[in-house]
Amino acid sequence: MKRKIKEKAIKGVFFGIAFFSVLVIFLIFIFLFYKSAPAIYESMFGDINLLSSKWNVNKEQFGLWAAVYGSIFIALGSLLISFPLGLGASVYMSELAPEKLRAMLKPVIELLAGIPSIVYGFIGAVILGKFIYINYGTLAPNSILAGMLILGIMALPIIVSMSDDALKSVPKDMKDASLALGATKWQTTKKVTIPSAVSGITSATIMGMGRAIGETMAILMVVGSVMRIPTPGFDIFETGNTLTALIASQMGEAAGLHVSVLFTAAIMLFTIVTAMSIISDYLQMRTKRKFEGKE
Amino acid sequence: MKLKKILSGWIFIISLIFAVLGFVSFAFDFHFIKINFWTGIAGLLILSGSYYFTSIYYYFKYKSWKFIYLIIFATILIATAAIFIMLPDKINLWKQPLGLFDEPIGAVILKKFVLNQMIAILGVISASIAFAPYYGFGKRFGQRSAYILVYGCIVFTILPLILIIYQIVSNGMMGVTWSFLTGDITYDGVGGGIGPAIVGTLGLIAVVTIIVLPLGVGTAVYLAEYSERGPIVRVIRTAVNILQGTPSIVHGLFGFTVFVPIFGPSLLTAGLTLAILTLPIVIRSSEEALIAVPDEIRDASLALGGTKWQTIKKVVLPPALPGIITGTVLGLGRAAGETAPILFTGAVFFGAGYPDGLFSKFHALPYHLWSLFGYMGYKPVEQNAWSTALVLILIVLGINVTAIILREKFRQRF
Repeated sequence: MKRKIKEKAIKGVFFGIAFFSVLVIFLIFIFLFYKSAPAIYESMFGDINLLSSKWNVNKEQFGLWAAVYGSIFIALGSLLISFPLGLGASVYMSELAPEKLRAMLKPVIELLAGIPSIVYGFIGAVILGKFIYINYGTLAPNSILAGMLILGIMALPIIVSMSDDALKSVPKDMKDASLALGATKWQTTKKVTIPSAVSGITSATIMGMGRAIGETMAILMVVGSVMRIPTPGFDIFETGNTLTALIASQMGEAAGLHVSVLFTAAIMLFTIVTAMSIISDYLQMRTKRKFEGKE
Repeated sequence: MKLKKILSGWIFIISLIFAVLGFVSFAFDFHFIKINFWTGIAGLLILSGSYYFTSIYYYFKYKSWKFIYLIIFATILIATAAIFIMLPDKINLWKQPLGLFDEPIGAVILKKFVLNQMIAILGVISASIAFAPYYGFGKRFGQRSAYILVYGCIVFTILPLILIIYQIVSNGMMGVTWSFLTGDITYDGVGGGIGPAIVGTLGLIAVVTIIVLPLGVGTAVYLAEYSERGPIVRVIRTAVNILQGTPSIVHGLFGFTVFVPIFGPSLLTAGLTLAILTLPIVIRSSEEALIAVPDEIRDASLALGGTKWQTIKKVVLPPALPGIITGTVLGLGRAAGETAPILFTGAVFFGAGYPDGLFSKFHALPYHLWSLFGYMGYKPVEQNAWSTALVLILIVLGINVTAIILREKFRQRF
């Protein structure tokens, strides 16, 4: 009897620990809302417009639109670099690479993911930014283009390793059937393997984009923290800002309503990224079910 | 046959020259003719004309529509050019000088991007067309060209890593001396060393380890051993996934609003914040390690009369330990390099010295690099910044390599 109680207690302790992460997510959300409540209240009943594109702290103009636009624009631009490269690299790793090379490449890609973002940002500002500054006549060493390139490189390892897993999980029987019908290896990859792994690859891409949107330091160092939508909107040679960089650069000296606005920016960020990670998880689960016949 | 071979050989050489010229003019911003609006349009027309020509030529020669995409591409080019020509001057971005540039934006785009790349693309495409007759237009040609692209992708994925590490090592190596590694931070980082920052980062890692290990492993044990499928487990798992995707700056804000009022900006606050950031990584890898332990072992222990807890403690955890350690170490590598979460939770640039307890402010390598970066251009900190980056990357990659070696060593025990 005593033993049974002890077992129950231990299970309870583990459950408590496991529930901690749920608690943390919950708390993050509550505190973000709590802190941003004044700004949201003001925007609903007062005279600030959070969705305008005018940002001027001294005049109490807190329009976040420029940062939202910057976040999404830069993340999409980085996707243009990381998606094709990542897909190609994962096809190489899962279909073409000899086993030995693959065993070497996987850790290397992991290392690429392990380089701290501040180092990417440093390199991006000091070398890439300068290169673009000199060669393309941008106004400052900071530009949206440099941000896109650096984020593209940063999102690559995630996309490569997750798409590689997705491509690897396609059953060999399916590929063999295609090869037996006389298709070439490439035709098999193009028509059988990639279409079957498409939800896994999509999930990887969303994950990579989530990382790109959530990235702070590299953007802060490379893109220039100027709260203005570039004109024309697609001008990648101008400076810009993102939600993350806005928070990181202004939190230190903010006071009053300004703080609250920054927390609203964090809520927007958190909502975008959470939605992306939920979609990504759902897609991954679907891939798993498809090939393993679970549940 | 012989004529065809000679012909395609010559086309190949010419297009190679084009490709090299295009690359050179792109990389070194070097131009062959004075580029203005009309030469730009002329270049565009010549380019699309050549695309039309090649596709029609190959259609009649081989009765193959393989190159129809060239026609589409060329048509889009011409349409774009036509639109830009026909637009009234006032709203025509192509002809109006724009704030940043003295020249019309269209000419700038042409000069900076389109023309150079066009020459290069023209070169590459004509090279592939020249090669086409050798392989035929069948599936082998397709496979060959697809694989060339795929090889290119993997090269451009690995290349950044090599370039980044090369740049940091070559620029930072001169500054890394014993006195730099152990010296105090002086003169706003211009002189002195980074001793306190290294110690601060190591201290931070220690704090994170102590906090994250019980939480992460406990959660993993619950998920892998105790949980039955059900809504609660799904909620926990979703929470872990969301936590993993949460941007680091949001973690920083969380630490700022929750832990700073309690503990003040300190090593403990930053450690707690980073522990939450690391938690999902530890949970996921520990869970994987636990699931990898085969059920037979559990059943054997249970059949011998062991309780569930005894089984977990004595039978399941020991073989899963290497996997758990690997995951934790990987997570610590991430924590050691993060800057955003410690921005507002206790890291400082000067005056903290070596940390003397959990509640003191501290220096950390990533934050130090960030501060030095802020001074660049005003003060001669460039060498110190590079060397700090080198030390940081050595520590982080060292941690990651340790984790990978551990994993390879203990792989496939069952």
